[in-house]
Amino acid sequence: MLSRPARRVESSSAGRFSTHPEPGRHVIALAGNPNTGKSTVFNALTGLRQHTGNWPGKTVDLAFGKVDLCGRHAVVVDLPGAYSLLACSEDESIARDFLSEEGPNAVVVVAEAGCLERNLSLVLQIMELTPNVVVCVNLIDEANRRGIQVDREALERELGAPVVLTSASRGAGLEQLKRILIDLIDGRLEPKPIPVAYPVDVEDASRELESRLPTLPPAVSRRYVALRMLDTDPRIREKIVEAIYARAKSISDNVVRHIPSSAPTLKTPAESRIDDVLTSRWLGLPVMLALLGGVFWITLVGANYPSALLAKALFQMESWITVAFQAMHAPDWLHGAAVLGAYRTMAWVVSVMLPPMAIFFPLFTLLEDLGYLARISFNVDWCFKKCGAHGKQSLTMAMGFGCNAAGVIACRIIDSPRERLVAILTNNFAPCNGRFPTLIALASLIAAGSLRASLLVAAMVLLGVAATLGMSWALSRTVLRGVPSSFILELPPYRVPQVAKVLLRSLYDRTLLVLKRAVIVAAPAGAVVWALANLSTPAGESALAFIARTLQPMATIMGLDGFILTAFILGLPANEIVLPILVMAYSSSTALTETTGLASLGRILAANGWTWLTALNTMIFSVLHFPCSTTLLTITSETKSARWTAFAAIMPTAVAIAACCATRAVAKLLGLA
Amino acid sequence: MEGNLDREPETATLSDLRLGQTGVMRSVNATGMVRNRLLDLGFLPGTRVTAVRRAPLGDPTAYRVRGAVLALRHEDASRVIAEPIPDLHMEAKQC
Repeated sequence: MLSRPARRVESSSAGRFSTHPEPGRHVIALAGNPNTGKSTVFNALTGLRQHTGNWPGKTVDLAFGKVDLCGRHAVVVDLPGAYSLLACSEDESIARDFLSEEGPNAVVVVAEAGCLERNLSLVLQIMELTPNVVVCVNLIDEANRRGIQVDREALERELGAPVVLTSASRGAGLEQLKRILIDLIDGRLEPKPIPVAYPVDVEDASRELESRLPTLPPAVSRRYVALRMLDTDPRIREKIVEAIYARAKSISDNVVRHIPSSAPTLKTPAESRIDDVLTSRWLGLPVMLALLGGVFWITLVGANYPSALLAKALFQMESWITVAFQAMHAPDWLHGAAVLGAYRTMAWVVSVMLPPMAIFFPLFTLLEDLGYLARISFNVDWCFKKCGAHGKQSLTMAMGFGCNAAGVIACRIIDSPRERLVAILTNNFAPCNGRFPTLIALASLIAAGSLRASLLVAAMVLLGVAATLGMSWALSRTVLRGVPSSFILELPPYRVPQVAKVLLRSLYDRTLLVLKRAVIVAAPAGAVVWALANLSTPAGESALAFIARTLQPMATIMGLDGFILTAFILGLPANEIVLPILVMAYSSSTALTETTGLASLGRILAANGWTWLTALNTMIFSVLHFPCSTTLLTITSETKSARWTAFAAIMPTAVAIAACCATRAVAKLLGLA
Repeated sequence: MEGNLDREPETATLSDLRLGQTGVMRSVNATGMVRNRLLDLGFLPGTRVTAVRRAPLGDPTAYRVRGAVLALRHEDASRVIAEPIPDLHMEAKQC
């Protein structure tokens, strides 16, 4: 989901899902608790590359994929992770609504073998809704290693539904799952789920209500509808949930066998010993900072070489293109807009921005798949609580490091509206992937050595976190007043990520995404900016110079210059083009020949009067300023409010201006600049 | 702990459990969404809940419930009435 924020289905009215059964097409829904490896099952079934994560409520959007069932036309829909159909969060409502309104032909419920009891409570609820359920007990390898064995046949008998044991990451059990799905679709298999028996008074009330219900569509279970009407009464709801869990426990007791550990010398499982370090009182936070710092360091050092190589190649290519233009006697303005504008900006994004993104993103994904992000959330939750924010805001903030638009969408996992809005409005303070390369490039210019530079980048990230917390605190005490609502965070078991797969897939995805954006966004923006920088107004001044001159007084107070502010404004479509725009703006006045690559960046900036303070304030402004246009559009669609969108643009900008002014004032006061 | 008026003095909650200690749940002293969420995750009367670890800054605390590890903030944990099982030297082995 980090890498694919665009695949999203709005959930505002009935019949909204694009998978609505066409004649002859079978819809198979994939449901399950978060962290059951549901996405891995989805990938394995469809072959469609979809990111799999390791934290609760992660797969917020619906993903579709065709599955090959021996020639049958079938589509698999990956539903958001849900603990229960008695929905609380937005994800759970989406899952419930899909199951009850779309009437899929079959539902595969993915259950985690190591935590069967709780997973069965969802299975039992779904079986009330539809009989066509296949239970896929996943992560069976992991459970076996922990001495947990599941008796498949006994579970089938207890549930009255087909059961498959799978280990989706290595493909085990999936052929069997497909065979069962074929039998189910062809009607050769008719599951007869054994219903949960509720206390007599609930059963009586349900029967009474069922008899009085109007005619329902054939796919809808009358019992399910009656029970859902009854459970609006909290006392009945409690009885229902208790009965479901009692049944889940009795089934689990009958089918799960615990085999004494084969390594009796181990007092505590490896898992809890890892957590003893990673979440410990003294080491938890330092280890967390060191890990994040390490990620920045690897990104910074690793990006240097490919970056220089790409810059050299692309600059070489530019000179060939120029020769070709001259050979064709192309007019100067065409060469300017196409080569000096569009091509150069694109080359910039590819050479300076792509390598850090392509390194940082996979590393971050690995931490996420490992289950470490949930631990970060656990470690820092206290701070979020003190600021009146929701505990899951740390997760949505973490998503923001990938892409703020994705982070804003992820805020759906927060079920309280007030805290969701706080999280949406402050998400921008997490410097996204489009801003990291800018921070890294500027940090390498002012800090000597890669270690110091990574510390400086880490400091900028901490500034972003501080701004997130500070503004959450301020919002919780002013426009969004309120106390934090409850939240429960699941700490999933650590899982060894499929390292090679994650690295390759996310390297590929990232590269493709950046290249696509370089062509769609950066190149046209480059052409426009070149025109602004080179076409003169009647006064003999370029439009860009005019804007920069207008902004100069304001910029001076902020320790920046007019061109920097102009670049940030023109960079609204995408954060990664800010630096290329700035270079173009400067070079149109300084006429430098080589303007691609990190090495030349320092010379250009120095020639335009940059000091360490200018660079620092540019970094600060980059972390804190208004979100990019994609994020703003996402905020509009998520909040359905133009006012909040405007607030989401103005508030961070005000913070950014204040912070830059303060830095400059302090530097002046101390006589440092 | 303090300021919780509707609680009898000797009624213990999840937040009173020491790390490693197991309690048997009695009831949830909350309404609405909090209550529903806790119920859905299996916090039901009679359930055994073990406090497993505490976050570096003292809150939240992670509890083992029905095979899963779930972190609750102090405010929420103190709404779950649970009777601690007296510590025996053998730690109750659950899942």
